[in-house]
Amino acid sequence: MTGWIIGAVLGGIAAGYLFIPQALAEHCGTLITVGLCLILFLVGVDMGRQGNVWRDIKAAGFKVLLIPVATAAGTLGFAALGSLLLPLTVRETMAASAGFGWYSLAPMLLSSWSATLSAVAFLSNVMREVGSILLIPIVAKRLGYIECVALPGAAAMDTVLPVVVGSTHERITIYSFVSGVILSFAVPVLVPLIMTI
Amino acid sequence: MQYMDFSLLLYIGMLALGVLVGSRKSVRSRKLLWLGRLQSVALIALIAILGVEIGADDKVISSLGEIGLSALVITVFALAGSLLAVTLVRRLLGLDSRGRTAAQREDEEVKGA
Repeated sequence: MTGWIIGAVLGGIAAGYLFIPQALAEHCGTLITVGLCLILFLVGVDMGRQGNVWRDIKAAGFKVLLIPVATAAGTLGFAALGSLLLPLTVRETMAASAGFGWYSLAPMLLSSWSATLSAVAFLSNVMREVGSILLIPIVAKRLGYIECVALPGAAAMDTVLPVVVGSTHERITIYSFVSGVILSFAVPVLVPLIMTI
Repeated sequence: MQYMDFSLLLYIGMLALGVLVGSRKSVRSRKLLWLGRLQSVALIALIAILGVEIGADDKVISSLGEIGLSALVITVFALAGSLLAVTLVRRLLGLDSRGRTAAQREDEEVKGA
């Protein structure tokens, strides 16, 4: 799936750069908004069908919720610091980082603001997923098991979940899953919110 | 800006509507293999459209290096910040580096011995 997504982005960029006229490209925004609604609805259906999140949270105790909250706070706080080094505003770096590794959603949410920011969000969230896969085994050994959940952000619930559990212990599964679900919900809320307030 | 407030509500609404539909018993009991496929196809199409929008923007093409560097810096900061925050929370919760409470740890050590 990751390969397909990266291929689609690159193919789209090449097409948009080489032969799609500006007039047509200007309608992309509307298409993206409509498509986003469809995708978010389908993602919601998927989450609803899994359905055990609430039960999982109760089983593990509400302290589980502190992990995604800390992940979000650390991500946003440090991304804000990162803006000092970059030609981007605090708002922009925070919004890009609020994709929490969900690289297909964050850039679409940002596409109505600027294509540049959208591209930054796409790349940085792909990097977060790839980086987390590389770092999880090291963090598990050197720092701690629960910290591994922080790295992939929203991807801790699906694509990177096997990597987290494989490098740590089965007891971390629930932390990873719950954290990923909460952060996934936070993406479509936080990204537009950060850009609006 | 008015328009953006509206789109935020729209996105949350769609997600919530999906969860509502998905958690119905009649929906949960079915396998719905096409659901995943539809999701993938819609996602790929949308991502390609996003690519077109990015590729058609001259500013993006002229600043690709800067975009890559920005993305890298944001990623490194985001990863470091989230690690720091979560490690603090883990210590505050009294969990050891393997995510165990003191009781769980003793339990496992007794079994191990």
